[in-house]
Amino acid sequence: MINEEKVRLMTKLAIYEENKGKHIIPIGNYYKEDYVGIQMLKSFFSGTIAYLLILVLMACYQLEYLITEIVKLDVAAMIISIVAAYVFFMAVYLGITYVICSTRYKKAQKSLKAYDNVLKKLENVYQREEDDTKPIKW
Amino acid sequence: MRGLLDFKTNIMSFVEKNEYYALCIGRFILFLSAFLMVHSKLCYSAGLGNIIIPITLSIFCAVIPMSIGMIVLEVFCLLNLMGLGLEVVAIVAIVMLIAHLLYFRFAKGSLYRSVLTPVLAFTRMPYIMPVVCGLRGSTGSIVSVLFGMIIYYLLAGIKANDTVFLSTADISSTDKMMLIIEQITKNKELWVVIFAFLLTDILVYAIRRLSIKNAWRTAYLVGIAFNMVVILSGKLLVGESEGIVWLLIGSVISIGVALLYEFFFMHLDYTRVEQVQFEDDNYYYYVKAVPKVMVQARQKSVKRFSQSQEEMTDKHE
Repeated sequence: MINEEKVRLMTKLAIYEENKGKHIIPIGNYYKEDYVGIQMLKSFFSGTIAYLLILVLMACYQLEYLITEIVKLDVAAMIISIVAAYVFFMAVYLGITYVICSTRYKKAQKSLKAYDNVLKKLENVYQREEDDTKPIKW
Repeated sequence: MRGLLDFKTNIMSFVEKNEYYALCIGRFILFLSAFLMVHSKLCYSAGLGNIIIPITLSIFCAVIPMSIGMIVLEVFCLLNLMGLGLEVVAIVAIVMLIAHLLYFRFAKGSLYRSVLTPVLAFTRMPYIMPVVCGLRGSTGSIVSVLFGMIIYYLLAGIKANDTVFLSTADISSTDKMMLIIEQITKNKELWVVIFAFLLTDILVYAIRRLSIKNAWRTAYLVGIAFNMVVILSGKLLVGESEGIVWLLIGSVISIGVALLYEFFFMHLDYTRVEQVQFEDDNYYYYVKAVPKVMVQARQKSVKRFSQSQEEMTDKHE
């Protein structure tokens, strides 16, 4: 016979796994430090590429000036300012990444706690079913 | 009012029952308006002039994930700009790539705002976006709208200077690139709008979280008025008087849209507010509960009278 409670719990779990859980369950596989660390590493690469692209845009904007004044340019000072701007840019970007990912991890943990509770209920239902089907020893 | 509530309940129950199809229809409308906007305003490539192309792409984007749909839209936009020269395409592609690298990888859920914002901006009605972000979104969701505005001003600037890009006169590649980048860096109006949108979002978000009566209504009315005043004074300050009439019209329409938004998502009955107090081991709770205005969907029941019953009633008479 169909156990209605079991079906209800399984449907609840399936809906969660299909929708919200799709993004949240993978987060639960990591410790906070690992999750935030991986995201910050990704941000490091994407931020560096983005910074390089911004430099390309700036170079395109100043191309004529760069071509005509290349000899007079203080290259060392320019490199120092580019690196300083890069460090500042990355510090801000990585800081924002840290805040976003920490908050996301915290929210995911809360959501997974509710998911775990439903899983435990389902486990109890299975346990009860198993107990009921066991032959009674006299 | 009862009719409106019935209408709302019917729409809500339709969306609940047909969630996937409703989502597809929503995406289709969004992408169709975006593709048609690109097609009508930025079609500089001869091969893409056929209206069938944007319609087909919209249908395709309606059934694929939003992030891929957005990339399809961007590629379509770049292909359309190809007629203006490779420099134009390269600069626009770089700006779009920077947006993807810095922000969109965090906020896949708010991608639709970045598509919707330029579409609304081309119809001169983007003023509702920071209000909606403040009402429903998280604190950082305004960034997607700001990126949308940057893309809009970039594309609008290209459109305004298309004769320069299309002219056969001697204009060097560097000049072309400078002209495009100036659409962002030297566009004072863009920075005024970004500043106003950012402040409006924060203001709306702060007011709607207050524990006051009609917090949502107060938030969007104050937000729209504040946004209008900041943009208006900003425009006058930088000497950009163009578009002031549209700012006023857009703000009035925004109030209408916000009213509709409130009706669907936060229609509360403040006459039935309940105040309850209780405690547990650690806290004492003061709870204010405001009920939502809801109606049960009307069930149509059709009564059938069989022929024999009708005959019986005739005999009685």
